Amino acid sequence: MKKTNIIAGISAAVILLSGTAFSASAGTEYDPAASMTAYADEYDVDVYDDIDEYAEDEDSYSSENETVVRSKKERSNPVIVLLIWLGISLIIAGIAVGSMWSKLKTVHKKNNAADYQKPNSFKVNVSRDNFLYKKVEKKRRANTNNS
Amino acid sequence: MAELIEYKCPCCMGKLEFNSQVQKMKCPYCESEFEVAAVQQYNEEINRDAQDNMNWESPAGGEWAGGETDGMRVYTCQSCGGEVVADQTTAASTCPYCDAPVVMSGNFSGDLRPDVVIPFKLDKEAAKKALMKHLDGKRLLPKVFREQNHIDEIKGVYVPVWLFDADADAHMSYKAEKKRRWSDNNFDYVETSTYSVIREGDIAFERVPVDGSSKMDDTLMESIEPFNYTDAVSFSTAYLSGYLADKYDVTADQSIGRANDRIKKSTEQAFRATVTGYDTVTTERSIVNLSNGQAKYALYPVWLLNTTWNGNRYTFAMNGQTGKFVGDLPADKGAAFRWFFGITGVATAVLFGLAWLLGL
Repeated sequence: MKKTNIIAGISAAVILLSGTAFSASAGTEYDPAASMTAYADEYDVDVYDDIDEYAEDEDSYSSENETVVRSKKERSNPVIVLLIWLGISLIIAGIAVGSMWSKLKTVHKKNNAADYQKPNSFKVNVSRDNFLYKKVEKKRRANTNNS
Repeated sequence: MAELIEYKCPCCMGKLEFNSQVQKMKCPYCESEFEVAAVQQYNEEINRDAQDNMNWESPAGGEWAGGETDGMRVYTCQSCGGEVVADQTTAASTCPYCDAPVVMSGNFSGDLRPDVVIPFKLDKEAAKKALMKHLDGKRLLPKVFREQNHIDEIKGVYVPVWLFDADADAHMSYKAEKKRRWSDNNFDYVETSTYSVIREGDIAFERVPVDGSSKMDDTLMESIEPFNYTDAVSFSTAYLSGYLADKYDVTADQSIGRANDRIKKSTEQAFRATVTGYDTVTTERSIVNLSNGQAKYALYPVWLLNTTWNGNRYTFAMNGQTGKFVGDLPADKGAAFRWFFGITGVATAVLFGLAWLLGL
């Protein structure tokens, strides 16, 4: 259970920080549609017609599109990326050293007497679940439609 | 004379009133409405006498037979004042608890005779191996500590324990909640249904051990549990040959509190496990009454090792029956820093390299 939590924690941290790393590395949020619109405005071409042509040849389209994304990513700031990976590594190292440290401590108080329960002695004579009351709370949803 | 009955609101503990329009009990403060029967049962619960009754009879231990203790000597520690018992064939030179010299202070006399003893099943060689295994794989353990450990000073000691038997009669009440969530175009809804949950029943415990020696660290003794009582035999001084035996200096009456705590905790955990199907459960009341409480006086086999390092004393213990070995170890802070920065450096390089290769 403890190990599962640790692994889940690391995974969450890595995923979260990876996402941040991607956003940070791109410098600004990449919007393909906006980018293409700007391109079309500047060169007076119908980008979406071009895409339709590319879409007929699926390999060609996806290849071109990936090139656009990759070229954006390659413009990332390596120092920021390095710092983010360093942060993740610090968390990993902290967990690893914490685990090593905890292995040195094996003396623990036993708070219960579960080892000494007489077999088959546990009997529930009364088991009642009485409904008391019900409450409904409502919270206005965030408006996702900006138009 | 008529008695004025007040019912308290389960939600805010305000005084409830019967509302004739809705034919329910209604709280004028939080405006919650309740079925009359549910409120009655809830108020019966909260008005119940909430006292644990944990009384014991503890006629533990017996009388020594004439001549039974003739060959037993008592050694007194010059440092901690503890007394250990050994038969005349076993020489005791140092205290098993603090490693200070002990001197023979006379023949054994008085005190209670143990009811049972669990004889040593594992010998000193097994204890040495267990210690070496305990030190293995501990990356932060100072090398000097490993090299300087005084492995030959491991001593076999019979530690006095009080064993408590009891039947627990429990009455538990919980407040539990179920939550249901849904949404429409404008709102998110959370419906919380609150229940009063009652559990009553019995559970029995046998031979819950409590350390009867003030010199032996209680936490250390609990860490090497459990001992298997099926190996216990009626006490005989013959089992002490080659080992030290500690005399109890904490009485059964003084140990009852610890046994009560452990029994109550286990009882609560057992009943809590029966409350299922809720999102949250809060214990409102826990009443545990003990009956048929009895205590026995026993000797449990423990291998003990004391060592001092950097001015701090470290005690290791091994269950002389099962071989379970425990003992806190010192940490090398320098090694911890080296590991921390080493792992950080390697992980950063690997992650950065992978990210670069994958084009992230």
